[in-house]
Amino acid sequence: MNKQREAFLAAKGKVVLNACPGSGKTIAIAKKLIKLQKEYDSLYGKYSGVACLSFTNTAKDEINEKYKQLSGNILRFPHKISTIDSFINQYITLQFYYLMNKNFKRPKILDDNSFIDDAWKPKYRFKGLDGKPFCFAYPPSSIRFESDGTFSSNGYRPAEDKVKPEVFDDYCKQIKSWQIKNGLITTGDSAYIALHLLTEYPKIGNWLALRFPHLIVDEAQDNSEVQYALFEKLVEDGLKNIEFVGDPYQSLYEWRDADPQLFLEKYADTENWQGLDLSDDHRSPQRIIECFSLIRKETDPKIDSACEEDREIPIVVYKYTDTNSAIIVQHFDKQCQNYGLTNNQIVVRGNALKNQMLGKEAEQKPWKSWIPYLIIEVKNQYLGNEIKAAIKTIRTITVKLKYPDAGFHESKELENSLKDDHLFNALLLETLHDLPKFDLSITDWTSQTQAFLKNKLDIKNEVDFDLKNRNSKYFDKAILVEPVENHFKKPYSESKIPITTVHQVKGKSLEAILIFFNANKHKDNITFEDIINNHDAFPSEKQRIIYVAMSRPKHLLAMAFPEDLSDDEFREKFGEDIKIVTEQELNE
Amino acid sequence: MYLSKLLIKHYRGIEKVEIDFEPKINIIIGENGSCKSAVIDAIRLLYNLGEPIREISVSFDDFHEKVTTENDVQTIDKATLIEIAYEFRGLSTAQKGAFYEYMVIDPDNSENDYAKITISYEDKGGKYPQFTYNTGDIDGQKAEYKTFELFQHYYLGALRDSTRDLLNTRGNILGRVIKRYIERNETEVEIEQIMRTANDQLLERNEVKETRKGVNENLSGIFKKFPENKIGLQIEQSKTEYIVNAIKPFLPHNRQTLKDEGFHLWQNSLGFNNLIYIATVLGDIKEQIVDNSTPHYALLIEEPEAHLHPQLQLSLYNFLKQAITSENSQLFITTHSPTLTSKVPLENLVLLDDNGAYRLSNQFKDRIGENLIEDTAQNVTLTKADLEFRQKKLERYIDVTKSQLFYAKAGLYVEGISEELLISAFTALEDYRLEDYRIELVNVRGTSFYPFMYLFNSSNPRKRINKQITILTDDDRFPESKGKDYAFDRLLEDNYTKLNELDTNIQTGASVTRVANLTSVANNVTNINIQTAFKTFEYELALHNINNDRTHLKDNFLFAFMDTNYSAKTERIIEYTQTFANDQMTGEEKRKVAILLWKALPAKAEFAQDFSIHILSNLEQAKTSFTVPPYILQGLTHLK
Repeated sequence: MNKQREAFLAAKGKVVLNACPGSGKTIAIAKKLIKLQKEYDSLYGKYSGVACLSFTNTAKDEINEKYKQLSGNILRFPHKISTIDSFINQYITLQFYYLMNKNFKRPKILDDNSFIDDAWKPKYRFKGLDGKPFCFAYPPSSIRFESDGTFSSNGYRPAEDKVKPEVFDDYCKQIKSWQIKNGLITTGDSAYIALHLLTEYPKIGNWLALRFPHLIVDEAQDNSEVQYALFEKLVEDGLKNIEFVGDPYQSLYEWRDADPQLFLEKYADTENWQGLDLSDDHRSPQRIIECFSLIRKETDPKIDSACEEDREIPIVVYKYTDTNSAIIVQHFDKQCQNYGLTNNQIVVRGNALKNQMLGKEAEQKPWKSWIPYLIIEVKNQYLGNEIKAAIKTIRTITVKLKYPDAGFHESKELENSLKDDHLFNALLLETLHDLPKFDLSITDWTSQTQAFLKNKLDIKNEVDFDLKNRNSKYFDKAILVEPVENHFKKPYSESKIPITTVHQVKGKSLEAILIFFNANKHKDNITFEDIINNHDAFPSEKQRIIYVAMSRPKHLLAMAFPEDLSDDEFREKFGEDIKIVTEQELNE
Repeated sequence: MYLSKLLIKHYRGIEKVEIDFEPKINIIIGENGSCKSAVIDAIRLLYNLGEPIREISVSFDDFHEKVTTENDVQTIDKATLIEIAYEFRGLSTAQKGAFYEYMVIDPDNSENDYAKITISYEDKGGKYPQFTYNTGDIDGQKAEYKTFELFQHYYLGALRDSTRDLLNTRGNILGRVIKRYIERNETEVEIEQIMRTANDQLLERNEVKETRKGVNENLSGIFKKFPENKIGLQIEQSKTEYIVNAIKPFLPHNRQTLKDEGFHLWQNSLGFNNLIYIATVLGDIKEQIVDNSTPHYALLIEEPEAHLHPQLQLSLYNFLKQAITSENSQLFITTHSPTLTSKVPLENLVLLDDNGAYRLSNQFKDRIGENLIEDTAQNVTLTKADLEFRQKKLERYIDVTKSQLFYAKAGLYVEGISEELLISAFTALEDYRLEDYRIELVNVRGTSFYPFMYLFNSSNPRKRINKQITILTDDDRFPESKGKDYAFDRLLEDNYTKLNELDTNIQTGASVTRVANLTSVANNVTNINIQTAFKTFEYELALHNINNDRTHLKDNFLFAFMDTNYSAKTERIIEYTQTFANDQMTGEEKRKVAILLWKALPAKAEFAQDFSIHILSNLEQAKTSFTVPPYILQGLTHLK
């Protein structure tokens, strides 16, 4: 237990904790929960407690897991570990939605709102100054509320010489009121609605502050402006203790309106907030820390390694060509085996590179229906032991097959009503288990799966995946006789190292990681050149992606760059001690 | 906080009912079968959710069955969804936090916020009905199960066995109270030491030691090689929960020291044991609230009058009233006791019948829109204050006998003792026993029917207690008839001048404004029927019992009764009939004879008592030769 952690455990009131990678932030939070729980049982009684909010379900599960490990118990009522989104939905938006729309009892909170683009018909009426509808440039699904009450399309507003601001505002207002009226809102809308409810009815905030007199917000660097405004409103309404825990360098959700600057501002505002640090990295050895610190500002506090064990494994650099990425993956696999590393992951940015690595040809789209693609995914989920997610997805598929004409709302309603039907869930599990195998040819798999689903799920209509029979850009007829598994690979390597995007390793501790950097300088791509801090500025989102990936491993950091980079360039950036794998070594 | 509203759908005999409750005391009344117990059980369902062992649950028999008859074909509709919603108001700040997920803000009046939970049971086949719940005002919102602990209750059923409850270890309330004190004083160790000492001392005794030795010798004879199978002896384990459960109430002979010998509870009267039990429960509630002020405590007592004589019922009620002082405890009582009912303010009375539930004080609230007029001469509508005053009046009027009107299906309201006594006798003549129709005869002792009428006269069907009501009143035309000038003897003087004058005055007299006022207050509702006696009840009685033939006057049962008891007067009446031209009397002649008979009747109460006994003891004769005034018959018909 170091001084920094002690300071955090003791802190009350308004706290910002800046926690570097590997600083054991989850442990710190779990310990704080244990401490607070004991304290609050006598202070607030049995019905008020701490809410610990995380950004993703994975992070939420980790805190739960850590809490259980350290205390031997599950954190129970009145305390709560939740994601920010579901906390806001559950305790504010859903509970008081009828105050926005009297006749609507329970709205749907959508993960994917793209169908609004089709469903909202008046969109063509709104035209830019060129006389053309602007609903393609600013689709209805992209429109969001900003915390100051204005609207934007994913954070942007059209230039005033393209679209009249009042026309754009009118467009946004109409979309949003249509959504609210029909109870079809996104989590972003939900946060805004919650903010609006708290503003209109401060008593909601009063009560919530009584129910949860202490909030801990994990991964606070990813909070949006609206979410911050909402928490501040709660403080106004009587919330005494709020803690923002996070690392601004690991903010990865700009597309969801995350703004790490807001975290930094609070950290800097010493008058109103207690800014605390955790700057010991218990995960990585110093050489890895030096690597990802390339992206940090010079003025930032230095991160010190406090790892338990340094196996002295050098940083590995691969050079990849159009053809050798599969071999690099194999080499990395072998390295991990040699060092006895078990918890490993390979990350890439973008699907094209991912396919290339998996040795897949250009992606094939043999079916017109989206269902078979989802079935392949769901079966892989099932095989990868993600049973709960798999059941959820197969339920969605089943509802779609059984009730092809049901609208969005109705389908969700049906899914909900089937959720607690145990016999039906058992049937879904059987279905998942018995689905035809992927070693069948695409043609056979298609016909067998169609027949299987019709029979198993007792579907009246014919099940038809709409198998294509003409060649196109995305489809080569020749593959119909090839096994499904050749074209729809499991997302992991031979020795089962998962291959994912960087977002999926966020918050994780790994033993080894292999990061594939892109070759082209596209705005979303991560490249060698991005591993730098320019003019002591706060790094961009893609630099932060690199930062997250590089700070994961305990032992082995491996990076694959395009072959046109020279060894000198690598050594200049990462130091003389790195291991650059030669082509010969690769082919051994 | 308190349970302010209960909405029940399709539970047992209840198709749908909405009940408003008072914060402290609610006395639920109504005839048998009005679903009083179903209401209590509906409350118990919620309060049992947080209990480790539930005393009540819903079975398939609890789903409401609606029987409809169309064209002589009976159809039974069995509901498949029971829904019960509970609304709580008056929450403390801490409670608003604890019940956060229950909180509802009224969109139309944001000051009106309350906590709400709805539970439902659905018949979907299977082994038992499917339970679900939601909190707040939206579907699918579920507060944590743990919050059900916040609903604490005590239930004393109608068929309770308080003696057993007091002596049982399971659910031992006395033990709980003691344990609470022990925990608060942190004296577990000392208490346990007492038992340890007692156990030790007993074990010193040779009698105990020898017994133990004997048993263990036998055991080792059985087990041989396994010496671990041996017993020890003790009075009770020296653990607090065991000790407190061993403490039982008894009735000491010495009421000063409350020690040593005494009677066992089984030797006590059931009524006293009930009271001991209630006293213990109240002690537990009081101490629980001290420890935890967040939960709501409901005390549910069915028919506390069982085993208690009327005065004790009232003492108990007065005690409960004082005992339930915490903001968080609420009392629900069902009763058939008129004693209890008559002493409780209307706001604490909830009347149940086939049509719904009525908080009786609500009958006097929010009625301004109905433009009720009591004084038709002044033609002013009643104000809020006027109605409140009517409520106060009614509370004063209701005594033990009148409070029975709440348990009846219908009510016959009369002015005085004459009507009260005689009408009971008349119904015997018609083979129409009031009890059979569960009609309550209410003597308002005067003409102040109004306060009663507001219970039944709302134009809003949901507010109206839809019982059939008949009001029998006199039109009291020519009230001067009571004067000395019109005494029996004066009527005979001067060749019946005064008699003729009185008859003319009565015929031309105007009925008093009361009739118009009553009609106005009846508010055009069909369940209230006002029947007026021409002149008075006694006048009508006389008028309809004069034989057309002057030679057969004594054939009539009433006339014969008068002739037997007051022959001096009947002789003068017969004498008067001799002045007529024919035996068959004209209408006018009959009227005048009737006036004389009426004036010949002795004092009201005396006559009513004697004549009603006379009717009942000569029923067969009366049936053929006595006529019940038609307005009374019409009034009775309305109640059938």
